[in-house]
Amino acid sequence: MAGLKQPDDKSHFLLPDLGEGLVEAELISWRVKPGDVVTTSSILAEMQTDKALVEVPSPWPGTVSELCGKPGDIMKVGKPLVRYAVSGAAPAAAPDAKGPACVGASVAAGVPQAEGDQGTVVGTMSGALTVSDRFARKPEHTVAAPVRGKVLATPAVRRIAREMGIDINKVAGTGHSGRVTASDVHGFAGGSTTGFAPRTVAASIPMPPVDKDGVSQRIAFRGVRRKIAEGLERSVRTAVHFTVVDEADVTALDRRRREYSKVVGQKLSMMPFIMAAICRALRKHPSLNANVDDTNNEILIKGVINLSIAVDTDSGLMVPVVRNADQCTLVDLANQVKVLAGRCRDRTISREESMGGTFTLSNVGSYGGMFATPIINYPEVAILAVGRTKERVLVKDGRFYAGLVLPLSLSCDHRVVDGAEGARFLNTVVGLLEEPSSLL
Amino acid sequence: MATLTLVQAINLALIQEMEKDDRVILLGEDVGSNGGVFRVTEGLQKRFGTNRVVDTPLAESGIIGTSIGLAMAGLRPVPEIQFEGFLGPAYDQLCSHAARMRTRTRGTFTVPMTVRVPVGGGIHAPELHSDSPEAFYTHQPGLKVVMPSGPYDAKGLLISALRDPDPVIFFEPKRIYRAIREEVPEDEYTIPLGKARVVCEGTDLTVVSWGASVIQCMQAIEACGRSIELIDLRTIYPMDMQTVEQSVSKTGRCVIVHEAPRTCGVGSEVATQIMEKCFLHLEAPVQRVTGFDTIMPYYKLELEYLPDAARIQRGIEDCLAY
Repeated sequence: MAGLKQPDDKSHFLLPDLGEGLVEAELISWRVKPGDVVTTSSILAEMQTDKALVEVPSPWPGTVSELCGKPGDIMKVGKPLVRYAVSGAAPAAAPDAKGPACVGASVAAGVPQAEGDQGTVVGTMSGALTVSDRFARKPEHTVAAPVRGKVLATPAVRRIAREMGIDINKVAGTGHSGRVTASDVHGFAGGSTTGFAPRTVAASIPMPPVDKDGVSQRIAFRGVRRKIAEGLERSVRTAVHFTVVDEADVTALDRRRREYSKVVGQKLSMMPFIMAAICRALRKHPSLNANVDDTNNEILIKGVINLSIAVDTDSGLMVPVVRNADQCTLVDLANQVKVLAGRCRDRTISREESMGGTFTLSNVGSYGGMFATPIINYPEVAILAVGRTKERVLVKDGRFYAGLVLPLSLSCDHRVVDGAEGARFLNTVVGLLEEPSSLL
Repeated sequence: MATLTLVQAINLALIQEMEKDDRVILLGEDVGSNGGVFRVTEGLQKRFGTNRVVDTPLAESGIIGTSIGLAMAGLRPVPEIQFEGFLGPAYDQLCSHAARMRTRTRGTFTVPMTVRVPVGGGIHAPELHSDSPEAFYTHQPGLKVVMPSGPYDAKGLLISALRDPDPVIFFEPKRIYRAIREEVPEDEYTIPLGKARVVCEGTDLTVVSWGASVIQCMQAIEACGRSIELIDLRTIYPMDMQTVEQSVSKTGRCVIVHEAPRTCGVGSEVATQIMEKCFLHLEAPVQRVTGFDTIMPYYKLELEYLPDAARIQRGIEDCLAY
């Protein structure tokens, strides 16, 4: 207890009341031995009261000279627990021990002194914590600093921005209270990659009147439909389209396709073969495997071949990407297209899976039609549309024969791909399709 | 100005208020001749006499019930419950009577009582001596709940609590009873209940905590080297959400730290209110670094249970990296 008077010369430490008016406690174990140098709060011994194990700290620094008991002994409160070597050094160390404990002495009579008292009946009060200056108490003031530099946005919109790699704090918000909406993020993405501003031009031209009579259904022009429209509009406004068409005699390829399907035990369509032919042709004509970075005025020839595949869904056109298509087997290609198309149709496709394409293949022929003028999947620079295969009378070496013909329509961005290069690429594709052994 | 421990600061506040207002009386187990289980009331019986510093039987329900009567009759009792684990027997008196008296009597009677309760772990104590039950009493309308994290706040908050017209549970984190010292003015001052303290300002993330965990938070913030704002709630109910909202709206990220078990801890309420008030500013889910949903373990494992600087730092880093 605080009331217990410890010797002024610090020659020995009297066991204090470990709480609750106890008169004795059992010595469980020593934590020091004679000769040990201890500091204030070094644990001297572990003692058992009727409530708890208590660690007894040294009340001052010094050198232990004698232990006044052995484990198992019942130690009396007020009797020496340990003795300290009295030397010239001990008094010198005294201020250190006394200093902090005495600080409160002048405050008010009755403020308890920690010295000599465990400070608790139960448990231990050992271990002083220090607080760094940065947490020092400052005059309290109402922090009313205006919130600056960060935008308002729902977590969902923040996710979109994060996935698109956009710093949302750079996007101007147009929503309620100026919050950034998903459209703002998409708009920002479009704006920053193309660097062109058709809207302001469009806005200055008055729109023609629209006859509202006889309307049977009004469909809000937004969502996926709007995104498709924006993408296509951007492409048509930016890329300079030209289209070159040709036909490939795929009679032999079709035969090989059926045989190969049996070999792999899986029905394969023409698609994986066409994809393989495109990959081979792109390696030969790399200028078509590119993106245009109009913002930075750069043409980026791509080393990887990521084929965008146009997929028709109930919500409209989607273009997922088969990555590293040149490294895939025919079966892989077929399966990947199937999986991606399925995910487009059930809308589980992620945005990343539709990004990073280097060339697009559109199989319009599965729905009909021979030739098309496909719109480039900007910022790519070329797109190949394949039409419906048809049996036709063909001529070879002056002889007629019945064969299967695949119509091909290639659109290129004339700014990047010259007409001749486009035609050469198409020739390569035709050649590969007509020589199927090269694809297997 | 004197540098005091939390124990000394509370002792000083009690002395000053008892001298100023003779309606203030102390009662509890061993608070008198023994000076209290943690020596907080040391010397007070000698100074103010046995009528104002009263040793009671070991009966928590009786201590609080008696205090309610004394308070309704015009005194300002300050009962001490030795450890938060022993609030159980007093729960009925606190929640069935103290908290409701103002409403029950339509304002005719109030219960101006401050229940002092050592709280929390970290002192190697046995079962029922290391819990953090602040959420129980925060959930009960009619009670105010206070938990200081240092000597200066302890004195100012305790004086406010003693002068409050309604019941206040004043939790004293025993882990830092004597572990930290702070300059505490001898002059009288109050810290209003319901006002948090911004311990340090920052821009990247907000840490919200209270009680002894605030010290662990400081260590974690120091270690992680980012610009982090630390808020000490100080009063858990009424909660100063304005300060939290302002901070999280600025930083966009928040980690809440408390010793109490995770499920339905006060952190759940803080996180929910942040979601309600700062939704558009959030850049990461609010994280909690807390005790576990288990009974507080015996002291061999208590340091595993209590959030320490390393665990808090991980929480901060996870939240920053989200």
